[in-house]
Amino acid sequence: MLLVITYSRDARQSLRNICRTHEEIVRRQFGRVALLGETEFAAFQVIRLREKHGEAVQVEQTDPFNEFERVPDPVREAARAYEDRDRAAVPYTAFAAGREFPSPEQMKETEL
Amino acid sequence: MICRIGSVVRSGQAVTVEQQIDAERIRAAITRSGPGGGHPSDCGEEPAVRIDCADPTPVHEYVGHIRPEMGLRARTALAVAGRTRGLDTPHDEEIERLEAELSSITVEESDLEDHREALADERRKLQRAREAVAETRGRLAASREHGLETDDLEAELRRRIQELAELETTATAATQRHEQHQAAARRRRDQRERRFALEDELENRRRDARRALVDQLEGEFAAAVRELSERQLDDPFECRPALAGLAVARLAEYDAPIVLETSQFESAAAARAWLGGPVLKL
Repeated sequence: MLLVITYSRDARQSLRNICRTHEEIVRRQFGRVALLGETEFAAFQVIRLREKHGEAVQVEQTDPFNEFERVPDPVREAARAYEDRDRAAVPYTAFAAGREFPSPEQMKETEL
Repeated sequence: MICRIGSVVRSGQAVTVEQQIDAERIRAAITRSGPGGGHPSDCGEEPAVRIDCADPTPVHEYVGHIRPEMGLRARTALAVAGRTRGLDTPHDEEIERLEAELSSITVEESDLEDHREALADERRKLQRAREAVAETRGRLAASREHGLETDDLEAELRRRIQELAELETTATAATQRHEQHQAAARRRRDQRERRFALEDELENRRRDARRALVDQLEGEFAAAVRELSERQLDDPFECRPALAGLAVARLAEYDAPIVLETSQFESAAAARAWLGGPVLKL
C-alpha cells in the first residue's frame, strides 16, 4: 500500500480532499495520514500531492509484515514465549536472562 | 477622503458616486491609496478613478464592499472588527508566543527528487547489466556443450562483467548519496512535524480568540442587526450577509471608506451617520 503522511495544514487539506473525492483508492485514513491501494491512479494522486506540497508530503510503499520471512527464529520465538509466560509481572529482560532469548539491547542493535 | 472619477471630484466622509462604474475599480483605488501606494494609471480605463484616503483595515477585506449578493463569514468578520477597536483576548499572549516560535522554525527545501531519479536510473542499468552477464554466461555454456568456438564469447563475458563491476560501484555511490539525503529528509520532517503541531496549536488559539471577541461583541452586533432587519431573528448571525456586513462595519473602527451598493440607506450621509465611518455609496 502507499502510506501518505502530510506535514502541513495545506497538505493535510489536499489529502482529505483526495480521500473524499476518491473513496475507492483509500484503504484507511487517520487525520493527516492515509493508506492508499497500490494502483497507478493512487500513485497519480500521490505524485500530484508531492508536486503541490513538496516535502510536506511523505510517501512510503508498505508491504504486509511477514515475520516468518523477515524475522529470525529466536526473536519470533521469544515474543511468543514471553506472551505465553506464567507470571505476568516478569519484565522481558528478566524473562530472557537464563534462556536462549535475545536481549532487548541485542535486538535494538540489529536491523531487520 | 477625496474621490476623483474622471473630472468629478468629491470630498468628505460621505460620498455618492453618480457615474456608472465598476465597484471593483473603486475598491482597487481605495486599496492602492494611502502614503507610498502611488497611483498607477488604472489600466487606462475611463473614466480614471483616484481616491485619496487612509489605509484600509483588515475589516475591509470582509465588509469593504457591501452588496446584496455578498457572502460573509459574519463571526470571523466580527472578530476582525473587534481588533480594529483594539479589543484584546486572554489568548493574545499565547498567540504571539506561538507566532514567534513558528517563525523561528525554518525548513529548507531540497533536491531529493533528482537523487531518487538518479538512484532509480542506476538500479535499472545495474539490473540490465546483470541480465546481460547471465545471458552471456548461458550462451557460453551452450557453446561449450556443443563444442563450439568460445573465444569471442569469453571475451564478451569478461567485458560484460567489467561493465557490471563499474555499474555496481556507481550504484553503490548513488545509494549512499540517496541514504544521506534520506537522513537529511528525516531531519527536515522532524522540523516540519514541530511546525505543523505549532500551526495547529496557533489555529486553535486563534479560534479561541475569535470566539472571545465574538462573545464581547455579540450583544452590540445583535442590536445593530435589529435596527436594520424588518423581521425578528432568533440568531442575529442568520441574517442576510449584507445586513451582517453593515452591522460589522458599524462596530468596527476605520478611516478608509466602505463601498456600499445596498438600498439600506437613503443617502451616503445617512449611511455614514449609522456606520460611524467614511462611506462611498454607488
